[in-house]
Amino acid sequence: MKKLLTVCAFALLVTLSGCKDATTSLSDGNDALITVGNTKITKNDVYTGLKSENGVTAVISKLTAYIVDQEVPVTDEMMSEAQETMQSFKDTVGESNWATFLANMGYDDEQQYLEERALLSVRAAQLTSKYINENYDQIKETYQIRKVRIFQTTDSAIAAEVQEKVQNGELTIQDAVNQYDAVTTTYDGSEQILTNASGLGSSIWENIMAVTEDNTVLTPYQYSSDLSNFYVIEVVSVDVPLEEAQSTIEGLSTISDDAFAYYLKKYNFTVYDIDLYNGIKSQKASYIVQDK
Amino acid sequence: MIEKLKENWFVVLVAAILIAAVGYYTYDTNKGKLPGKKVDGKDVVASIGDTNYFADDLYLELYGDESSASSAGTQVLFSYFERAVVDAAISVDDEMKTQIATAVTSVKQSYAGQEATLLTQLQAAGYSSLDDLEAYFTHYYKMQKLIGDAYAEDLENLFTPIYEEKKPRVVSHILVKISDFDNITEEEQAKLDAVDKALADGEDFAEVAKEYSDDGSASDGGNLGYMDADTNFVSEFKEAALAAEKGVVTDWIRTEYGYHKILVTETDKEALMNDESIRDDIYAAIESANPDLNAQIIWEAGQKLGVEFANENVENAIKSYLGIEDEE
Repeated sequence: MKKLLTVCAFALLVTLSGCKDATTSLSDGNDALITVGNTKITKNDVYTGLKSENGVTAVISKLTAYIVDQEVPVTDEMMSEAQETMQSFKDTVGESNWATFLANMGYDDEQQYLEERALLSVRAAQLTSKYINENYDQIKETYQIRKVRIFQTTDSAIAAEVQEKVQNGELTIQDAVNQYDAVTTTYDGSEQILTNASGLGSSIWENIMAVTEDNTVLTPYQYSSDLSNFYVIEVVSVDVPLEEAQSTIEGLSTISDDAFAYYLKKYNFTVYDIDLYNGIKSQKASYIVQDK
Repeated sequence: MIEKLKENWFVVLVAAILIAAVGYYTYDTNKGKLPGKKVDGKDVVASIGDTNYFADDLYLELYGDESSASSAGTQVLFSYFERAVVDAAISVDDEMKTQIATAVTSVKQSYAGQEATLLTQLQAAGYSSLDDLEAYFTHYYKMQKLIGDAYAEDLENLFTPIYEEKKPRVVSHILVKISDFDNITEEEQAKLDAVDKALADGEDFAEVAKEYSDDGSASDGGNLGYMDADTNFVSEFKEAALAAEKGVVTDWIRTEYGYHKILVTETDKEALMNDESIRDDIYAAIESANPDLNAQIIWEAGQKLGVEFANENVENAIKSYLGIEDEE
């Protein structure tokens, strides 16, 4: 019976010790850096403080370096761009302050700065383009990319008039913008690439998405939910090729995070420290790609 | 064996149920918890692909140069050092307990609904959660006491140079606001005249201030408290107040706010040092005149408690951070 109780107690101990989120500590973390009276300030104390201040940034920087090593091989062009960037920065800092600057930033020499900072930055910038190139079909679906022409006015009567003329083939949207230039706003009537993040009202966007054939004019004219703006819209293309959409996609505020999260998932990024996990989650939630 | 188990079937049953319960509890409590990882006995912070990032490496990278006063590691280490010194050097008495409790309650009330902002501020001060608010104020008041006690102990030496160079004094004033100096209104002129008459009639300056002054200090008899040559008053006012003799009301002094009558109520060194109401101002003047003094006080308190450094780099970096490296 005593043995049985011992087994149960041990099992409970194991249970309780394993039921916390993991945090990390140093191999020699209990070594004191300073002892004041009876109080030891250990390496682990300082590690915890440093981790909460800059841990997330340092880890993301490491991840970036890993991913660009896998995905973006260095080219002569990139090296030149990195050298130019570094030189420009060096000119700003000043030749006489350069060595001190490098030391303060933790770099042994200029070469290390070039490779670990300037070149990394150039290579990281290529990641998003690579992601877009390789995942365009999925991006097209997520961001609902369409090529459209839009005539916008605050006058519903003019919108109705233009709608009729465009539908009858009397005017193109571009011509309408030129003809009614005194009353049009925002859009210039030229072909442009829009996404579901472009700011058109959701009901208008739903109508655009309902179009399945190129060169379709939406009927009737569209209007904003507060009835302050009226639109005549032609969907020029429902399947926009990458080369036409590239710059629009690159301009999306979320695309670089999408790209980084994609590569983090691809390379199975896993974090094993709850402080860093929470830090990354609060700063860049999409970077957490593991099941906790 | 089987016979024994059969004989004790009830105990076996209870044991089986217990083990099952513990097993389920283990599963349930660990569900949703972040797992850790060790490789060769070292904690892994994160992994990507086939690469592990170790806590040991992250520490070295984040710490920076161990021997540099400006490295991130030295700064964090100093904050722990300062806390350890203050914590050990000063104990919390009942008065401080009340101060801490009041401050915690007050801050919690002020930040109700804005806890995220409060947390950010606490984190910037080196604390990790809202539960650390009490620890923050405990440290704050202990630090105040450590520094205050040190200043009080050497007040004569610390204050004398300020007294000689910066003409410290206690001043009061009466302000009559003037909206347009080129067109003083009848009401403004009447107030100026009334102040002149009251003072000429020998009425108490503080009472006249209470009755006529347009400044927020009126309710306190016009008292502005401590000032010296470094006080941030408008220049016309400051010059007149520093030139005034104790007990003599000045002529009207024109500033951008209006006309002021100024009365210097104290200039005596001993009286200033003994005036509790201006103690914080005197301490602020001392701190401003001696930028490294507080660090030195912390260092000396540490020395009394006994300080050991892991190595010379850490010692030199901390001393350099405190600005005391040449005094050893």
